Amino acid sequence: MSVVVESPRGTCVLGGISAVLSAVDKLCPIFHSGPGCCMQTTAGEAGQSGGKQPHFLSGVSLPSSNMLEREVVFGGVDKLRSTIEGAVEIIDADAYFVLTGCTAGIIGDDIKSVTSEFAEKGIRVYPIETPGFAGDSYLGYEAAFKTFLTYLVEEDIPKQPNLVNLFGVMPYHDPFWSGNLEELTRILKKLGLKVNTFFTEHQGIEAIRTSSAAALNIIVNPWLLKSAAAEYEERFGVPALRIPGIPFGATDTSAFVREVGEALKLDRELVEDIIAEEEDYIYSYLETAIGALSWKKFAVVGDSNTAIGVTRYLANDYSFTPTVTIITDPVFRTEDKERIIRQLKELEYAKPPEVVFESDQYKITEELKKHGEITLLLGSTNEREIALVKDIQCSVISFPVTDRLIFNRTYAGYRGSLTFIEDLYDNL
Amino acid sequence: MLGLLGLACNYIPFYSSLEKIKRIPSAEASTSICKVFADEFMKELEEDYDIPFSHTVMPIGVRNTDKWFRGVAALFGKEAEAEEYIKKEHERVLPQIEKIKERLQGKRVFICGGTGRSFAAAALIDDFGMELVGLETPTYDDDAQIDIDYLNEIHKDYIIDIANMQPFEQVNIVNRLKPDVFIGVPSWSARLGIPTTHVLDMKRPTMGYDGILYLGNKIADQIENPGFNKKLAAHARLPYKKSWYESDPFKFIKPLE
Repeated sequence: MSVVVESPRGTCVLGGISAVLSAVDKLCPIFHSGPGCCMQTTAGEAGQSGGKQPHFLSGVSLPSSNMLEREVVFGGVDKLRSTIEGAVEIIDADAYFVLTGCTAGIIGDDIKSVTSEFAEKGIRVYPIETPGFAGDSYLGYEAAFKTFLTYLVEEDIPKQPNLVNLFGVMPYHDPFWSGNLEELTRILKKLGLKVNTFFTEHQGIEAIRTSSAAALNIIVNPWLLKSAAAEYEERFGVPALRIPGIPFGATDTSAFVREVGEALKLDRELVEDIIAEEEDYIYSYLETAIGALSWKKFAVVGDSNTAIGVTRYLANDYSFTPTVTIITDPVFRTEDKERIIRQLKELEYAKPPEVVFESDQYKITEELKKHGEITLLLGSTNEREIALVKDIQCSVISFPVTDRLIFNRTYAGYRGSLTFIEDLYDNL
Repeated sequence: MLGLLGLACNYIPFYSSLEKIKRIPSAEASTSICKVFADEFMKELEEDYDIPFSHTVMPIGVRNTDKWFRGVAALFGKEAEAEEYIKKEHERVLPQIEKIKERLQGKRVFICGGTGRSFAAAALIDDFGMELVGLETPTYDDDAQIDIDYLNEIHKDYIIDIANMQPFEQVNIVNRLKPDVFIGVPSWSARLGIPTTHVLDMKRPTMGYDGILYLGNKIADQIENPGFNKKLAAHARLPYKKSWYESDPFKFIKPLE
């Protein structure tokens, strides 16, 4: 029996793939789909993710084969071919990827045969054959990396012992993706590491190609990229370290740093020095505004990565009382659910929150209504309504975010945790 | 404005409750401010419920606002009241428009917008003595031709591109024409360093007699203070190859088989 979800958080596979491609410098997505997909997937991801639109190609500037009746009946490969020709002619990209929309997936167009024509001439055009209806945005994130592994990641290149790949934060789906990646990168660089994020510092196709040379894949996410991580390990010998949730604040970020240090056998003294320096930095500020925020009973609604970070930070480091944490991701593997629950239940002092997995907005609201004691709600823009009804403080921290502009703002890591407290105060 | 004619207005569909929607057939007449979303609906109301409607004109600019207002008034035989109001508003607004005209006279404009707004914007810039050099609008039909004929009487030399923004065409054309100002979604033309502004504005009135003053000032301000776009252009990364800017913008348009 199929399930109806009210206000699903995200879009289809196309949306997810497009979000990833749009965040890598100079990659050109080409949609082999109906005419609406470019605008709608952009509106559904970037458009609800804190205001940043991909600067290279997005929405109406994405090349699309605009499949109509004729293509459904007679097949769309000719139209696709001419679309790719046009894109290659006018767009200055390092690689072009053809995405398969629902229509193309249903009629079974052979995308690969068309892209091969170009690849044979030395033009970097690649097929992504996962059609839109196969799943949601997260599947798109996974599909994009699997495609990179199939077509771009280079074999047999010399290892770089200080290079790490940083996965897990999804561009345009995590509204704070830019800042989150930048803060984590800042910390890793202090450890003497070089970091492939693929989505910041104008990183482009080079970062993808050389990702097989990394000494470690750091996956900051409790459930995504299991398959890609396994492939990196199998084919290139790059081991994976999973950090099950974005580290917010001193405790979790220092744990993160220690884990990375362990995995790469970094000099213990260097690691501890950096931790001491960073912790001192934050506490020098926290010391100056003790009691600015009074104690809250908080609820969290959001994707697993953010929800875990927020819940643990406020409970462990800021002495707020957790009530319920609602995970909106469509997590389907039991082991992943257990990992997420563990992160939320294993707190240092506080009584752990109730943990609920729910994507449906109506059910989320009903769950929140059950808890009369909440005084602070941290969620998405969708949660503002129930916060108004309950007359409680609301801070928007997770997807979808339609009422904030987010450039490089982050609540993650060390510095982000200070911004987080500042914003909580602003929302009183 | 409808209130001035003694008319009560059922404004639909945004934020309409079920009750509001149920009241629709009890109206004496219909009017609209956006072709694309209203014309078909109003026609059906006429066919199914005998509710007459006035021809849609987006009330942006003096001429169009007059036209729209007269159209609604005619449905109720209130032409005289409408003329009185129009005369008063003209007395109030036209001198202010003259002032803005001093800042905008002769400026060359490229407009990109939906069918309603783009033609309305094109009419409006005429009020300010500006020159239309290019127009990009997504649909073309008999109705649009009426608007184009009207524009042809005022502006002697402009390009029309029937396109839903089609940024690659837009960037090519705007780069060639180098207008003084671009009106529409600014994402691409702003990065060429051209001053940009928009006829869409979520918080302020762009329609009616006050709307035109607001729009005129907005356009003039942007032309006089173009710092942001100029500096942005020095750093922006548009996706097109240099060779594209030298190509014919319409080379990809093929005749239908």
